[in-house]
Order: sequence, then structure tokens, then C-alpha cells
Amino acid sequence: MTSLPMETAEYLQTEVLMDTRCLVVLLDADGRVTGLECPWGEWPLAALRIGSALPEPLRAVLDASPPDQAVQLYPFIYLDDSQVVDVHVCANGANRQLILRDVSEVHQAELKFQQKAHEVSLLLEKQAQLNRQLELQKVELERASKAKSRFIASMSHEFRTPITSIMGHADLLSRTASDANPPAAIQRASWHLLTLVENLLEEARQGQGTVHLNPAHVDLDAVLKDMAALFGEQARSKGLELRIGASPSDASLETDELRLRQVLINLLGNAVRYTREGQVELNTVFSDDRLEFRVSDTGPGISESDRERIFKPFMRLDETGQSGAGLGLSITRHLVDAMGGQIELDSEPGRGSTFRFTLAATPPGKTPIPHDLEGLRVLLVEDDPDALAILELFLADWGVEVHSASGLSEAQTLAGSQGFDLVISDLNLDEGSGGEVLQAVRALQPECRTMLCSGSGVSSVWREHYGGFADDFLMKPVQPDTLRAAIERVLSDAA
Amino acid sequence: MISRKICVLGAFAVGKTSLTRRFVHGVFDERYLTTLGVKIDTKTVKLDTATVKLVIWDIEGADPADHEVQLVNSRMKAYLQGTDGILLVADGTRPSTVDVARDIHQWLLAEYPDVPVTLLVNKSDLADLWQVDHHALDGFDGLLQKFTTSALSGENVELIFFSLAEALTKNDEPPDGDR
Repeated sequence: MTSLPMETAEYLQTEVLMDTRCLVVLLDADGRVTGLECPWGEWPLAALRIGSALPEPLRAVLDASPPDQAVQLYPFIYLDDSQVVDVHVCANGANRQLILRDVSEVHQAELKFQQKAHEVSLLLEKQAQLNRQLELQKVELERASKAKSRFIASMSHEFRTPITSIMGHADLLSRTASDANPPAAIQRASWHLLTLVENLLEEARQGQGTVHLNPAHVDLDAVLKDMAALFGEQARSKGLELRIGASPSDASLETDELRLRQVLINLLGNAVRYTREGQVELNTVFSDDRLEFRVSDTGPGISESDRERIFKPFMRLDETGQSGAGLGLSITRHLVDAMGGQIELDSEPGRGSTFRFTLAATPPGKTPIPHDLEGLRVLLVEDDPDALAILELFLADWGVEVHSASGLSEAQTLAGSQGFDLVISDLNLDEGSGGEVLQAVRALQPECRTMLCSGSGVSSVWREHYGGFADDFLMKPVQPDTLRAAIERVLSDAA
Repeated sequence: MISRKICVLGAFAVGKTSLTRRFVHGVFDERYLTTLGVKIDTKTVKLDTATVKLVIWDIEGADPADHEVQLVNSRMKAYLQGTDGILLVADGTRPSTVDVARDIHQWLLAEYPDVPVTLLVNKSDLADLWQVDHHALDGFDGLLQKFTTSALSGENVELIFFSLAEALTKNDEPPDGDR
């Protein structure tokens, strides 16, 4: 201690305290070690020897230190990978001293903490980056999913137009042909095709999490008759008995008829497809404001363990030689749920299965008055010539006086020159829209009844947009029975 | 022989120690070992005009978490005293480190306006993860140079030290300018 310059000794006392691992390095003007003092203990530092040059890190610190500063502290200087020192550079005239304190332990502890903190920061940064990437991918996937749904929706729309034409012409054929088989086959194929399209469309909609319904009064008799016609031939060809019970006369059902048909076609289609002998039945029972539909078969039945599985998409119990995409029951359950019902299954393996679902129904209200449509003046607005021809034929068959227009201006001209009882317009026209047509006709003829018709879109949405000036809505493909029922309903409401 | 002090600065884990080790010892280690304090290394380089001993101060990384408090802390300030040149390092796979470098650069412009600064965007070997484009390097006025580097492959590593050494000795009078 006695050999230390006064300032250095004072600095040691006041700042460095009594640290046992503290070394004072005395230097000459060239920075060579002239003395080593360990004031409060023993700390042999191998890198330092009297008469030697300073190790590089210490030499660098000494060189960098401003010569005019009395004491300068350089904390955490690595001497090597394991030894870290705080370096105090003390000026003492021409000579300088270094006071070294071994801070390796403190440094190591802080370093461990720092290392962990940095590793956590890096992980968090990485996570944030991944989250951003995921977010971008999510947006991209959503965009792709929407594009897919749009594609399927537009494809479905494209399908509907020719199907409408096929079904209309099949209907005409069935009235004129002596051999009823070809038109029946066309009709069957059309319904089959339509149901497949609707199933696909529904699958796409499920991806969006929504089912849009077009609720309207359902002519249950007509639906059941169609089911009998649709599956009669198929059942007969397999030697099965198809029994379709009469509809209850005391129930009035308002739901989405197309969806109801889809559900019944899916259930009856499965029953006929999987039943080898015996019978397939469809019965309806009205009780407590609920209408129960029951589809029973004498097929192989479904085991307890398979009862949930069959309602999953793309799932079929028997993969051998059966047609269909495996979407039917999944979509059936989804649709029944959306219509406010619940599908249930009773089955006994080897004995058969019964699928049951109920929908809300009411006792019959005002029954549409059967109208004689003879001489009814109808303005028909449709830009697709095939669809127009079919509707014209249906209407002409009932003695309706039909005037046709292909767009808004033609419709306006006709409505300006003669009176109409009813205007039926397609929603999407090449020139103008169905909404504009109905508005224009209503403006000229406030008493005229109005109906909108479309192959795409959703009638509940139309009701919001066009409810003010459309009395009813028709979904394509329009069947003669549906058209007639809708016309009679509209005319009854007016009466 | 003349000697020049170079400080290596930047956010943590951008590769300051790896670049220095690559240059001084010709080695690279994949592990990330944080630096707390300063590691001082030297390397003598022969330029066309002079032989220079580079004293490289590899300074602990700035932590953006401390950004609001003190990006350049008191330890770093002590280490920077008397520096002749600065290598400012960012990580091309972490855009936040470019922001840290930009803030340090602003501080340097105020505190060390005459000291040349070279900007390095490191880890060019990680092309798939690269996120720093040309526009991200806007706002670095008055830099000596900008380089992309890779301590792993060694891309541009020699070049940056040599060109900084040249810049730091350009106006030197030979060779009694020992420090």
C-alpha cells in the first residue's frame, strides 16, 4: 500500500472498498508493468508480470483512456472467456495505474440472466413474425375459400339454367309422349343432378357457416307426389315396395321447399340405394304444431357405433360400388338443423333404419282459392329464351294470356300500353334488373301483382330488398305445380 | 505502426461478435452467446499505404426493450471514448434491429459527428428469412458505406474491415503517427 501514489490509494479506499480480488497495476510511461499490489488479499493474475507489456485488452483500455482524466472506469472488460474485470485507469503524472477488480462472478450471474432475457426476446420476435405470417396466410386462405365458394355458387347457377330447361321440356314430353319412360328418366336424372348440385352448394355454404333459407308455403302434396315419381321406378327396378303416405290435411308448412326436397331426396335416395329387399316408406304426421317426416327402410341397418359417423361429410359405411359423394347425410343434418328441426335415427342392424325429423307447422290458414287462370293477363320478363319458352308453355297451358319481354325497357313499353293482372320477372336481366321491372310496372299499374324469379340468391335476402314491391318469390328451376301454387297464392292474397 | 480503434455496435444477437471472430480468428460458431461488457481484439492489416493495427471493441448489444430508458448505456459510452471508426450492425432477418441501428446512428451523429460509420446488414446467408429491403435502410444519412455481410460464409467480412481501415488512415502522415 505504501508504494501506491496518494490519489490511487485514496481512490481505492473510497471507491473500490476492501475487495480482496483487487489488483493495482503500476505502469511506466510506455505502459510496461513496474509493480503489482494486491492491497487486501491475494489475487495472482497470470497474465500480468512485472517488466512485461500489458495484455492486449488492458493495453487497449489504457490507450483509449483520456490522459487528462483523473480516474476513468471501464466496466466488464473480458480478459478471456472466463475472466472479466472492471478497469479503473488512474492518472498520476506521466505514469498511470490500472486498478483491476475481478468481477467474473457478478458478470457471470448477470450474463446468464441477460442470455435468457435475449433468448426469450428472440423467441418472442420469432413468434410475432410467425403470427404475422400466419395472419397473412389466413387472409390468403380466406380469400381462396371465398373464391372457391363463389365458384361453386356460380357453377350451381350455371347448372340450374339447363336443368330448368331439361325439366320443363321433360314435363312437356310427359304430357304428349305415349311412352312415359324417356321423360321420366330425364326428370329423374335432372332431380338427381340438381340434388348433387345443391349438396355441393350446401357444402360450400357450410364452409362459410351459414345456410340461407327461402321460406315459403310448401305444397306438401306436390312434394310427396314428386318423391313417389322420382323413386318409384328405381324402387320397382330393385323389387322394392315404395310407400309414400298421404300428406296430413290439417297441416300447413312454411319452409324452404328446395331444401326440404333435398333432405327427402337424400334420405329416400339412401334408403332405396342400400335396401336390397322389402320396402321403403315415407310418412308424415302432424301433431302439436310439428310435422314429422319419417323415412323407413328394411335395409341392413346401422350399428350403434356408426350412427354418429354417418353424419360426417364424405363418409360412407359401404365403400364398395355405391354412388354418391358421401355428402348426403352430413348436409341433411345441417339443413334440418337450419330449418329448425332435428334429425334422429332409429336403427337395428339387420332389420332396417328410420330417419325422423320434425319441422314447425301450423294448422291450415287461408287456403289459396283455386283460381281459373283462363284469360289471366301476365307480363313475363325473362332474358333466357329457353327459360322463357318453358314458362310461356306452362302459362299458355292454363289458358293464361302471356306477353313476353326480355328486359326493362321492353317491359316498360308493354306495361305502358296495356293492363296486366300479374308480372313475373327474372331477377338478373341483361338489361335492367327484376327489381326495377317490378317497380316500373307497379308505378304504372298499382293493382298488378308481382313475382320475382331467380336461379341464384336467396329469397330471404330478396325479401329485404324487394319485399316492398314483390308479392312472391320463385326459385328456379320452376316447376309447373310450384308456379301454379304461387300464382294462386298471390291472387288469393290480392282477393 | 499506426493503430486505430474500431467499435462494433448494434442490437443484441445481430452477429457483432461473430463478425469480429470471423475477421480476427477466421472462425464461426452457430451458438448464440450474448456479450455483456466488451471484448477487445486486435488484428494487424496491411494496406497499400500502411500497416495498421486494428483494435476492435466488440461492444455488448443494445436491447430494444431498454430503448425508452437508454439505448446507449453508460458502459457503452465509456467504451466508445476515443473511437476512430464504427461498424454499426443490423440483422437482415429482424427488421427491428435496423430500427435500433437507425436510432444508434442518430445518437452517433450527435455525439461523434466526425467518426465514420459503416452499416452492416448481417446474416445474408439466411436468404429465406431475409426481411430487410433497400427501402428499410432509408434514414441513415452520412454513412461511410453500407454492406450486407455473413459471418457464417464470410461474405464481405474482410472487405468491411479493410475499407474502414483505409478510410481511417487516408489522411495519415506516414508512419510516425503512432498512437
